[in-house]
Amino acid sequence: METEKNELTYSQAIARLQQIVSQIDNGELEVDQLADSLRQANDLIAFCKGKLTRAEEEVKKISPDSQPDE
Amino acid sequence: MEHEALSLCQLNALVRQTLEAGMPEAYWVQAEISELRVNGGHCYLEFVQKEERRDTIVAKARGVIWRSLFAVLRPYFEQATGQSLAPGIKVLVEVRVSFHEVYGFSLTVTDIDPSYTVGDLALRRREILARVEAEGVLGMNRELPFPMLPQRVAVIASATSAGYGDFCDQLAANSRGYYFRVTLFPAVMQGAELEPSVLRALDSINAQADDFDVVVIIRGGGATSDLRGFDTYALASACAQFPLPVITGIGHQRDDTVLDSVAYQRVKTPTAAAEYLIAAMDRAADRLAELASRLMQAVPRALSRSRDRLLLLQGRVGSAAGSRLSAETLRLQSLRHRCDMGVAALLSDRRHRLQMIEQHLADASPSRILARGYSITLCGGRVVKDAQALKAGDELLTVLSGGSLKSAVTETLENNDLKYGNREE
Repeated sequence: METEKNELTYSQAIARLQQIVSQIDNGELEVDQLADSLRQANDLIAFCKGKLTRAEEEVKKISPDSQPDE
Repeated sequence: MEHEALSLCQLNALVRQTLEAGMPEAYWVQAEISELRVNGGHCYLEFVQKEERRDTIVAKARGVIWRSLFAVLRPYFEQATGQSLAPGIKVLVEVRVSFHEVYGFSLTVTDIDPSYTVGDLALRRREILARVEAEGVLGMNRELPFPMLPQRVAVIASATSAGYGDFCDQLAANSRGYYFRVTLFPAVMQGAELEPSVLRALDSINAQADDFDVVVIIRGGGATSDLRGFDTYALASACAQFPLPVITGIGHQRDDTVLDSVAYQRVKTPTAAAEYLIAAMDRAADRLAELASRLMQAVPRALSRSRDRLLLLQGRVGSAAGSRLSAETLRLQSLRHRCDMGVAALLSDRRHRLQMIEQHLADASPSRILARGYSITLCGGRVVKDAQALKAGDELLTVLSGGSLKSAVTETLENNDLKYGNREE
């Protein structure tokens, strides 16, 4: 039984977030990119917060397209 | 032929008397308990001795701990060893040898030395750990990376145990609302069934290891019982090599079991196991919050840095232009100064020269010459410079410094005779 692992994992999200923060901190980002990066960072934070508290997998179980094992 | 026969009762009585007379004292005996049951408060045991390294029984004896003593010995032993009296453990007991006409040979326990059992259990654990270590797998579970979010929890526990309930309650009550998904893999958590049932549960989890982040093995707290089931090589080996971190909360006070020693993390109770997972989630949440706050600070900082850079550049443009301008101004000023100086010098030079000329002119004016005593001689309105141009009788007009006079030429001479010169200086 193989779960679909195409989606972002929490640690990947954290790593990306970390990267964005250091880029901004170190002045590696152009002002042009800043807004995009910020938007992305906010998405990542929301995603991670969701992972901590929300029962995503529970939702999947209930959703109609969930398939029985095997 | 007549034999003097004894009744069985007489014989047994003789055995009893002989035994009691020959072995009147109490003896300390090392033995393994092979069977144990409690009936009416009395504890009935079977002691055995096995051949080293093999399971062949080389000696065997029944034993009993009477109720009054058992009530004292049991808690004392459990307190000291963290282990209940149970089949399979080795004990050092003080016994009196007795013989009963009906029940036969038996040992009446009068005391027990728990330190022997403690040592024996520890020795067994050390042996198992040494074997696991020799196979190079001792630290494997401990060295696994711990998941950032240990949310999908496989629990090995007895479904009905208080410990499992405590664990679930504790997880569910986490104050920050973390999501956990707990899946129970039921197992028998004591006695002979412990090892095979826990191994089966581990196998089931392993078959779907991708669906879990962490394994928790818990056992309800409360009364001390038989923990030796956790001290087996098979369990230690399986746990050490398990692909997910294993957390044990077996609920014991004394030495760690072998399972604890190879697990990723040992905690004392099921509640503590739940706390451990919650703490891991707290760390993840704190890290996220820290990143978010760093982001909140980093963005304005980045913006203000850009603005500063802009201002700096802007300033540089201005100041570069300014400094360029002022250099030009300076040059201009200096030029003008030099120019002014030049003009002044020139003017003064000219003025000086003019003064000189004026002086010359003044010096050269006829009146000055006349004043020195010279005179001008005119004849016919013309200045006479050569006496040869005159002849006797020419009328001369002589101009002096003061006035003039008329005269006539009487004679002209060839040479000037300077001794008549009238320079007085």
